[in-house]
Amino acid sequence: MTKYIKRHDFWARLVHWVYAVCGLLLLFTGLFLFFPGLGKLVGAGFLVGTTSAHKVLGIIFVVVPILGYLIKPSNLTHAFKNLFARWDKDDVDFMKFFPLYLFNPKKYHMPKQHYIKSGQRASDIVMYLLIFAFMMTGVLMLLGTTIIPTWLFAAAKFIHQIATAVFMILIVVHIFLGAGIFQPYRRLPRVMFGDGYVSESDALYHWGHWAEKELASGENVVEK
Amino acid sequence: MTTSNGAIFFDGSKCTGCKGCQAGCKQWNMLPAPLDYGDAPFTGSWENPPANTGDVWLRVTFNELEPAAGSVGMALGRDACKHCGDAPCITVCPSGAMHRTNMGAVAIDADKCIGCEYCVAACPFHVPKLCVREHKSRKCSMCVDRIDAGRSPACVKSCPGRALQFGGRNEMVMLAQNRALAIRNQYPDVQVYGVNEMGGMGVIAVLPYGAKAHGLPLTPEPPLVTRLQGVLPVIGGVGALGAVGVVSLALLGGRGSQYGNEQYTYDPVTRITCDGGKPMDPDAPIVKVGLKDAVKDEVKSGEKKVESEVSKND
Repeated sequence: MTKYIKRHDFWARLVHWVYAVCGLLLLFTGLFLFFPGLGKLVGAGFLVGTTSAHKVLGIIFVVVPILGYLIKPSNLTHAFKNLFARWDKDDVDFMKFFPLYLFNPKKYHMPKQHYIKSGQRASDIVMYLLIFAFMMTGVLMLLGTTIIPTWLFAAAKFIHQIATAVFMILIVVHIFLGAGIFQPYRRLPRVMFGDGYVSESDALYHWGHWAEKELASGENVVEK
Repeated sequence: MTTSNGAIFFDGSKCTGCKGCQAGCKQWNMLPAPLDYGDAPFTGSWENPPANTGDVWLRVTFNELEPAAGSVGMALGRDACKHCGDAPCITVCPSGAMHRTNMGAVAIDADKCIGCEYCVAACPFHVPKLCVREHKSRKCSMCVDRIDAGRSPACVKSCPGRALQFGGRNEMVMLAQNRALAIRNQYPDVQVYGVNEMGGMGVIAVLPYGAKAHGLPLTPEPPLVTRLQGVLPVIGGVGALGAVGVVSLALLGGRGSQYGNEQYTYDPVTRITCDGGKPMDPDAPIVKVGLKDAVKDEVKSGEKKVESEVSKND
């Protein structure tokens, strides 16, 4: 029998699933607008399709987290509470050694981490800011220049494109770690894309402080 | 702009504000106008409509001058596409709908326009507008169809006072400069507009009261955000490729880590974490001791033990 700790509930995983699919499709459909050369290459007919899809997906992108929050507000508040939690020595050490660990994980025994690793906390804050920027500017651009002033549309488009440039870089790293392509993270996709449980061993390896608390309380621990 | 380009010459000193050009543009391009009572409310200006739209591609502008003693003066202008030599609308258009015609005019291929409004945001003169009926950007095309048929643009044809003329660009520039010289005594602030602005425009204007008085920017340039936007795809593309490179190296580095052999367990009572049943050192250094170092340490500790036992025996 192996102990498992529940890390994410159904609603958190569902929102993440929708966001993962929606976000990647938005990135794909948006690339043809982001790189004007690419749009000209595929032709106007294809571009009309991708642009229309981008708008529909954008609406889903805005509505889903709002629905998720309305259904289970504690998920978002819990995430934000942990994002802005105070950093201790282990958090600082994690950040200090992470670049070295990333390229040579067998040589580094990373310090114990809380519910969200310090590095992921920094990355998630940027990700949440990007999502917020995408949502706000996306809505403004959807309204268009017949409803909002042209300068506001131009500013929204500019911020939308800055967010896209940053997102393109961040999503590569996010997928590499989150989808378990990085060898030590290979069993992590189950946490968000599977049943939401993490084994005792993996939990202790990745989030030592959090796992110890959970195992001590036993509240979210099951044996399978 | 090349010498083969055509251009429209607008003489603000001859314009009477009759709006014949406005009507001619609408008629030729079959642009609908609001017909119901109250559809075009009075806005306090002689300008009507108050702004260009997807169905209004040309407007005569009326800018009130600083009041001279006992008189009211108007600087009359022509608000339509200037057909810029360096047209930001062409640069930002993702579908290639915005293009330059053989005559140097900037025109929209309606079949290709996806209604993204990027051109609307990029234009320093706020010329392209979204046509709500068609959900496509629309603007003056310098009547490319008429020019192709050997005619002048509809606005030029409709102008009764010859305030608008059409011809080769060099010819129109000469005409404008000569006209400006001719009226300089009467209009000391006269300015020829469009020769060098925005890479040289396809509309050369003689503005008797100067650009500012006619409601035009002295040194027009695309909005700052439009100018900066050119670098963002480069940053995004290079950054993403860089990130792929970094994670590829990390992938290679991580392959040897063999994570998965560890079996961590935690005893909440003793608060001890074990790896494969063996208690782990809670103060273990972050950098794991390499195999060679570990052997060296063992040899050293062994030597010390021997030394201490020898000294005891002594």
